[in-house]
Amino acid sequence: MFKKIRGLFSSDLSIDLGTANTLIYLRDSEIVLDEPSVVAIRQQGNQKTVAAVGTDAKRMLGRTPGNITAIRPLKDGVIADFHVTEKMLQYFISKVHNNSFLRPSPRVLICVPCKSTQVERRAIKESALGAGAREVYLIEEPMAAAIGAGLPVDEATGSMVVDIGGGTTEIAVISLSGIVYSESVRVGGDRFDEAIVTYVRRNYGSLIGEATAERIKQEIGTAYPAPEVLEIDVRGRNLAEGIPRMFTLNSNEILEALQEPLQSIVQAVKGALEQCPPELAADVAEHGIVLTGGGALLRNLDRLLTEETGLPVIVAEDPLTCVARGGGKALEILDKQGFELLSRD
Amino acid sequence: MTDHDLLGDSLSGFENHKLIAARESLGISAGALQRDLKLTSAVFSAIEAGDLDQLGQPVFARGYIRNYCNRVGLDPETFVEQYNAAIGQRPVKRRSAIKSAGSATAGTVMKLNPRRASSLLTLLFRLVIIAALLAGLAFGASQINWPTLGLSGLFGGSEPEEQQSSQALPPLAGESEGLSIPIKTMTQESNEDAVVEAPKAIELPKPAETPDLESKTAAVPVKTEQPKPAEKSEPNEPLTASPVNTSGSDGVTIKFSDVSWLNIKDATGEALFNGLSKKGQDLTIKGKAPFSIVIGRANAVSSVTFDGSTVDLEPHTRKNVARLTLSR
Repeated sequence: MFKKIRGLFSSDLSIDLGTANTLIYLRDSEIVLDEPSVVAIRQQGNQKTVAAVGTDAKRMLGRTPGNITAIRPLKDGVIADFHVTEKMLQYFISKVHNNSFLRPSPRVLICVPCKSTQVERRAIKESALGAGAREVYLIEEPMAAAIGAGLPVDEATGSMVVDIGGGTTEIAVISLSGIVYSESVRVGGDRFDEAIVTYVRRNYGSLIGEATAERIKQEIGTAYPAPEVLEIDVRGRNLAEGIPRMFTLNSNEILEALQEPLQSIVQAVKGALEQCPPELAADVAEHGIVLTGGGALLRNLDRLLTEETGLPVIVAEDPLTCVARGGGKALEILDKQGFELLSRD
Repeated sequence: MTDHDLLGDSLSGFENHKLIAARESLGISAGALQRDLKLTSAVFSAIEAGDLDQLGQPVFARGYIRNYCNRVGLDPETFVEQYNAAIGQRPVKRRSAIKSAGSATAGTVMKLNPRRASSLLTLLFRLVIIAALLAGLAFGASQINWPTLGLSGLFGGSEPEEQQSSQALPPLAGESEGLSIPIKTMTQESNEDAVVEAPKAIELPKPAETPDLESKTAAVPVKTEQPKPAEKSEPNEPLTASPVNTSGSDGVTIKFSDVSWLNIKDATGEALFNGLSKKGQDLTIKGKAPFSIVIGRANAVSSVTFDGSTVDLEPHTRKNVARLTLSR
């Protein structure tokens, strides 16, 4: 009963619980939280306490003393550490309700990878309930991404969405509010970072951290050869000398470094087109493929997919928030007419 | 004569001539760019003619325009804004900083929006609910006879209103703790959560085992709540050993046909008896009138006698719980 009363003081939320970032969309409003999915845990004897969550914890990654561990509780789009995820969600939910004087108990819609197992979905649901949610609904990420991107999901026409997240890439063909075909590959922004770290170690004999690799990807990363070549100065620990050294990387080198994960995504998209029913494939060929997720911001990724598939590929507006926004819209649909894509399982 | 001369500007304010001029300045033919963008000829012609209605869904149209602009070296956002203005749609606010999937640099937390139109009404509604709750709790606190809480639940009767209000009390106390400490030590989490959960909070731990009583009460639907006996009394103590004040001159005699909970106080407020009776027992209590009596299971009492006269419990019984005061 008290949860219901507390629910009156809470707003419905759509949460994109991502491997890299967690975004929260407030129903009928906007994105109210966008923070890294990182939690810093401090250990004092046998007792563990949460030292920081989100941006503050992210700054600690790779810079923590012995008694603090910065954890990313989600891996490949699913929960890797249940309790830490619960604490993180609890923190985020209370943060977006900072005006309330009761502990919030909102209805929450969470986006899950389309190929996640029932166990993984159950873990996400329980985690949200443990964090104080009153009711929890689950929606598959590509569906949320398609709604958020503004695709005509309810029409009798095929729409293809490729959502490139931190841990996974979700590909789906949607028609009449249903997913006709979906595929999930465990390649995403994190794999791009790892590929850059590996490339630098192999070719420059230097070790760089994930945060540096991410910065390189954002600043000069490209998925397709571009006329202009970008450069960046990087500092890493030289493995032979053991001291930090500076060196310069260019965008062509990063293109080379990213080849393996990029090819995985290309193959998955081609596979989806092969499996797609012919009528829907014709619709996709006419309208094109829509890219969402943070990975869509990798320079020239749309160009690469265009060249590989021979189809127009477009990047959705504000691709990073498509999933969370789509979840929010789904919540609105849920109240108006029910929505068969949402489930409590 | 160029394509621009042929097509002219769109009436909607979409500067399609700039697109064509940029393409021609790069020496790219329309056919080459169309093949490069993998667009159908209809869509490509619609972009260059500024015929925006032919571009289909806005999500695709914006993408086509962006791709076109990127290829000819124009700022795509300018043309997308023109497109949005032409079709009368508000664009999604794009982030200026480029963030990729692994990135997490923004970390900005915006406060909840300034409340939407209906928020004032919602706020008023919430305030009314809070006021009603507080009033209810205050009223309940003044009315509840505390020792009787959970009594009827034990004997299978329907829950009295006082009991419902008592269920609401523990979670309220837990609430205030939850507000002040959103993140606590991980080792304590399960216990703290249990305090906050309303249904769990009302489940009291069972008191010490009383095998003989349990066997007698097994037939009735026993709920999780147990009567909280006063510290002075022992619920399973024989009736003969019950604390009876013999100093007074008045006396009450109660005959039980079955097990029932009983609480009797004298004029001084002292509990003369507080516990369970046994089946078939006659209980005589002496003290100073008036006696305040609460019988947890009125139908388990065969008779009540005060100063030689029989007392009818019926007018004092509600939901099988009798509350009465006996005086001369």
